[in-house]
Amino acid sequence: MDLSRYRQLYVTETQENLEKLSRLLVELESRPADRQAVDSVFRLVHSIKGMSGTMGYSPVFELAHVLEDLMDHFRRSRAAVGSSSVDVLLAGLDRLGQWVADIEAERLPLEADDTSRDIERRAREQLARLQAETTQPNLRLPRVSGSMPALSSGELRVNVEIGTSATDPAVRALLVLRRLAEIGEVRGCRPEPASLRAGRLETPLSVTVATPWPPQTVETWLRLLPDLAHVEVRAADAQSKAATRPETSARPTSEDDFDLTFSGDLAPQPPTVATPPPARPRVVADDFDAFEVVPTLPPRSEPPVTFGPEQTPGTAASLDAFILDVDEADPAVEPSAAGVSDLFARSPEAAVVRPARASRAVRVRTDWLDGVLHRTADLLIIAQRLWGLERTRADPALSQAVADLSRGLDELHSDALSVRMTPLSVLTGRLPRAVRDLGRKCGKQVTLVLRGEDQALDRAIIEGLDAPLTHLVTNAVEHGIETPDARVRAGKPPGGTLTLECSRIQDEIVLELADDGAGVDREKLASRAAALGLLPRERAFALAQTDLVRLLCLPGLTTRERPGDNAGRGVGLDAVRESVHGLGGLVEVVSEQGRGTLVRLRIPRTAGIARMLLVEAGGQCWGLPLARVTTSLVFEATAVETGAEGLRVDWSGAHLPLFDLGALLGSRASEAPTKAFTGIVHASVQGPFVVVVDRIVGQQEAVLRTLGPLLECIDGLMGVTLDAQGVPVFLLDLPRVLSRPVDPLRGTG
Amino acid sequence: MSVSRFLVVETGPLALGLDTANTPEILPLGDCVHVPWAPHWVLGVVDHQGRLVTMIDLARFLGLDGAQPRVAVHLDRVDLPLAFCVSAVHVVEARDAVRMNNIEHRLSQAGWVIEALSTPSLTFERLDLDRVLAALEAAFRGG
Repeated sequence: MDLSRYRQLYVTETQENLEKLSRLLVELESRPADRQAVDSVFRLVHSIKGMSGTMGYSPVFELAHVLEDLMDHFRRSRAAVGSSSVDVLLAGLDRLGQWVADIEAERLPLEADDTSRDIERRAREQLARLQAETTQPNLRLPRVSGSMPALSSGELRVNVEIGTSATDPAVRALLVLRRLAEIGEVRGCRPEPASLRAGRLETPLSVTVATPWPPQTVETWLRLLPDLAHVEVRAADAQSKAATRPETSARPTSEDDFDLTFSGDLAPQPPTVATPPPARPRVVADDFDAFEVVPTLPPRSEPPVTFGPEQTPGTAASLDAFILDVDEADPAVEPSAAGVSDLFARSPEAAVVRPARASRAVRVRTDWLDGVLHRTADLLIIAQRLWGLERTRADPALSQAVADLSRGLDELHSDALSVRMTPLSVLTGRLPRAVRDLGRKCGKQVTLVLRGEDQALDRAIIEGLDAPLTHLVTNAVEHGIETPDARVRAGKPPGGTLTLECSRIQDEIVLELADDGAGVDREKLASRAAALGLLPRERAFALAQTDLVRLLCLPGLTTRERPGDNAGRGVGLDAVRESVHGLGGLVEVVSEQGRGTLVRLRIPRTAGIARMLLVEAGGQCWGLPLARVTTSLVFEATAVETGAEGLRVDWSGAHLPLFDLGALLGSRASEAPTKAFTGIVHASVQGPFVVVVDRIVGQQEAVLRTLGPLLECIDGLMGVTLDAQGVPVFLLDLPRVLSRPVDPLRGTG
Repeated sequence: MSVSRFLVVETGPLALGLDTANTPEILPLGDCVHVPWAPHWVLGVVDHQGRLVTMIDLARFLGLDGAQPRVAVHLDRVDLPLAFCVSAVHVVEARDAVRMNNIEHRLSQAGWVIEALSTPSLTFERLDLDRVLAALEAAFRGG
């Protein structure tokens, strides 16, 4: 079977799992006894292992298997997860991540290398040490591949009551049943498996199983499973057998047959097991996970898609039976955790498309979503033009039709936008690990607090925020938060706190990154700027007090004598500002020496829709982002001052730089000066300025279209929309326009 | 020659052949919207069926002293929506065109020409459109 078509699914799913794992492990480090986190980590590693085995990525499978074993120890022993184990696990995740990147880039085949072997060795050593230390008997049951060994086994009667806390008692019962099927032959079951699969569990579970293991071992082993209120295992004597068999009639039918492939190592030492556990993890069918291929479900009549080294076409269980495969290796995990989003569902010997759970979510390519949005936006623009045409005709029916069309398209566009909305957690998921690693590297104790991660932003905005946010966090850890000694000397707790909070204010998302570190030393910063020749000394000191952002954004400015690996090279906040600016956002910085720094990013929630102020200049209509327009003003020529740095105009006592928009744009010269000029006060990170326009046309909420590959090369253009006559109107990024170098050939600056 | 016909555009002193597969539409040269800071050979943009089409004065782009463009040839390329603005357009059946050997190319950018072709009424140079567009894009990006 050609698995390459599942590659992207595998990559996406595995990357998501790795990210979750990274975060969970960092949490686990601070709460080592968090059993839920331990279970989750185990489940995710197991999932990666299974998917990788299915796809045939052996090195990934093998490393994940070793990591899984390590986590399995913590899960079963209930021991706290130590930092050294977290280190090994994180190192393993890093290597897995590199392999996944290789897979995505089709750098195949994958091969184990010294790094992966070293991690495996460390993990095994760690595990051996932990096992030696633990006093709890190893209750892991044997992982023996093959058919059930011939044993002088007796029958056990297992009675289990599922606790009321179980979210789905019937599924939990199925998992118990499956567990028992791993250690023997299930010969009777009440209620019947079909009933359990239908979600019905009206009586305690009663199972008759033939197994070589003593009742006490099995009982102890079962008690490790969660959500079981009562477990009783005893030898089934002849009388009870007689009583049980007729009433249950529940020897699983062929359709109900469980996979009896054993896997594991039953301990304490079983008396009669002939088959030793394999010395090295082996890719067996039981370890395989199956794809849940959501978008392309075959009709039910089609045979299940099967593959795997030990598959036998005729042995694939019925599709219904796969409800049993919620998590055969990890009953501690809630079935719902697998969920419809889990691409890979487990199957004993086959990868199976699971129709029962496939209908509620689909994965689609993001570029396809972008296409839908763009086409919808195009339709909306056409509808806007129709509105314009409709106004020229007095036809009520036409008006109604256009209104209906516009309303429908508005809703469609809104839906298309909402589909692209992505929670911020996609972006922040990797931060705990990054902060942890960086803090260690710098010898600092840093606690990262994340708030408002569920705020949803347009995917394009999320992608654009990745680099700036990473940089800001790095900067805060490296330069903001002090070392424990320095903090204690300053009367602070040794560990610093970095808080990232996201909130929504109307159509803007506000991201605030605050640290309780040293804050900005304004004098030192100003001195440095002057020493580097970036600004005259007086001006640098003035800016340090009045416009910290502008000073911090001076290219090449750093107060560090020696740059760190990640920050301190003076390519920081100006790059952040550029990126955020490119998203239509703004950066603000508040800092108090000794108390910390807060960087605030204000960014639009959605890309693609802009509220514009339409102005006319040079005989053409232009759009300005309304969020950046402070106000408009009318002034006379006498209010204009001419100085060495150009024209200025007085506005509320401030002498703002003044520019003629028509001249800036290289359009026809603005109309002949009149007695009064119309100016727009525009905000920017460099401070407000005024542009003179011919006239203000009005405000408009417009659907922006991309500029296309040619025009997007032009600095100063943010997007384009159409007016009611279908004429393109460019949205201008005036601060970038002003920063354009003068180009005499093109006649404009 | 696999194409069945060419669109021959007159631009300045040159006649240049474009494979018709790439030239599905002739647009009237209406009012373009000025694009600030674009190269001087960009006449502007128009909205054509919901797409923003960049109008290129082909003669200026090729560095020729051209006549005033009067018509735009829309290149239907998903990746690069643009139109060449030229003086005149002719359609030439490929079967009527004969390959000319030993002809001196009049287009200075010889690498952009696949071959020279002639019909009883017209001699033209067939453009390698991909190369031309790559050069155009590079020029736009300042490369």
